[in-house]
Amino acid sequence: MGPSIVIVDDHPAIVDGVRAWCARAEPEIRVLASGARVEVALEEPAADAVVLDLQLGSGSPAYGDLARLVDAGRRVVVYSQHADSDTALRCLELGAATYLTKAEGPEHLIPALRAVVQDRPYTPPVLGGAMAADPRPDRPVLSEREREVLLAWFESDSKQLVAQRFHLSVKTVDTYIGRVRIKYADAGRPATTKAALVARALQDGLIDLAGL
Amino acid sequence: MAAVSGPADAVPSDLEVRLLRGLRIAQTVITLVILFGLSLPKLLDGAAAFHPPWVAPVGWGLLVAVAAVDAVLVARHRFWGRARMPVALGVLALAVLIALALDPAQVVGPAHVGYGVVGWIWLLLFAGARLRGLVALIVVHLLFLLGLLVATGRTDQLTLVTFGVTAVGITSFQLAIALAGSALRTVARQAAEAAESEARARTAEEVARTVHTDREARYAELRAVALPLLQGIGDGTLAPSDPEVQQAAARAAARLRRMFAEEGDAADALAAELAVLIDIAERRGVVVRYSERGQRPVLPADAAGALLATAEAALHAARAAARVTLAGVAGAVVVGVVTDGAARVPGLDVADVGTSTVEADGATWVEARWAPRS
Repeated sequence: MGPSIVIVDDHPAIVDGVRAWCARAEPEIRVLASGARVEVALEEPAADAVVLDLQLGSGSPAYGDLARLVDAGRRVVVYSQHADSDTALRCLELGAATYLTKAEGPEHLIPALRAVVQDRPYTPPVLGGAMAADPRPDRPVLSEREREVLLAWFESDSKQLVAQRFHLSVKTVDTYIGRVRIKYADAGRPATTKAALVARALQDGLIDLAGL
Repeated sequence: MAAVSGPADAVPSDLEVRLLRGLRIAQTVITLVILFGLSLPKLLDGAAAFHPPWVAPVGWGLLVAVAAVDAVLVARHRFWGRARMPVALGVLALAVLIALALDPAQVVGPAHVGYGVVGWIWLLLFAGARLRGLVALIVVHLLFLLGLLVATGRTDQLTLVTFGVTAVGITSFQLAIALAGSALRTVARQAAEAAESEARARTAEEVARTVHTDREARYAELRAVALPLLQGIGDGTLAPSDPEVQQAAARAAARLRRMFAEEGDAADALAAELAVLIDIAERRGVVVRYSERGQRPVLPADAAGALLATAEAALHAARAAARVTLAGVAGAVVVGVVTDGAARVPGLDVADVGTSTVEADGATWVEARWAPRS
């Protein structure tokens, strides 16, 4: 049986869209519930992941809802119309599994959900750009190559193009991008979802203990 | 004096320093009056209550030394900075030593040199800083003295009431002045913000003037490019069916659009010009996804021109879809364009600008990067 999710979004059109993508996915992703309030997700603890719209209603971004879900040990894919770096990085800090802008949804939401339910890192291009250009003084330290690969991923939205440019295999490109995500998981507020991400990365050989 | 210059908390603004100065001078005067007018006579009378007796004069001397250093800092418009906490903790240690060397019967008596003074010394140290540290030190000091009274069995009502009255009396004065300083800083900060927003408004005006001049220059350029073209088409010397004429007309039209679209936000001219190029592509029916990231320095005009020329050439090749990105990473500015067409990127020879083209799976990714070497 495929993975299951809950959708928290106050736009019916978005919910319908995500439902349609999930139904078409192979294997199918089951949508257990959907609604405009975060309680919908908290009442479905069996769901493997939560797709959370950061802008519920007209108020400020729902960081509190995100924190509640993370504290409840849920894997959260933030799906937001905010495209700015600060919002994306703040969500990672709070323990979101990944961050997608709505423009990236058609290509990246389903792959992101697949990765996230297995506690594997998934970094869509715009989030990659935010990490590569992170200006904050306490950002995780990236190697020159990691930064270049991430920037290239942001620019091209194609791992083939990135691989070709740096004469790497697509798998190696994936490794670089994944490693940076783990560095971000290892920074800031601890959360069970972050720990699971790091543990899985160790099992997968994406990082070793010395690299942490 | 190097130790006192470091920014420990938020660095106080100029206005804050100036406004706080009057308060600091008043505090210094109060502290010196207390040290010399109240403590010194008590010191001379009560040295016998200390074991050993030299603790009182040495302790008093050290407190005077701290007040003197602070007076020098006030005169120089400086704050304690990184030295604040070590010195404040040193003063606490000193107060503890003085109290321990004192005859327990005198802890709430007139011979206790440090009792009323250390709070004032901390007030000097914490000028321009947050109040938390100050309040914590005062509380710790009072709790220590209370503990000392209890430990030495001096828990009779008279002693405790005397201690309570003096503690509240002294501390309330000190906290009132500290709060006044804090309020003054808030006012200063608001004033500084107001001044800053005024400066921003002035800058915007200046920018508008520059943009206007720039626009006039562009009109002149247009007259040179568009008018001959229009005249030529009008009098029949140029044929609209000629591909070269069509290209020249497209270029002139692009310039016109760019000029009309320009918003005058000179701080991000590059993003604005890129938006115009995207707009032109979208008018051809190309779906463009745009994203920008990072902080970008303002780059030299020729470099910005080179980046835009590369993006323009790349976008020109787009058939149905394109991805345009603008990023500022580690001091470099990078424009990336991915299209579904085969782009021919012009060769450029501009300082610090490099371009690269990568093709895979029918997609072409063109990047132009300005990375200053210095």
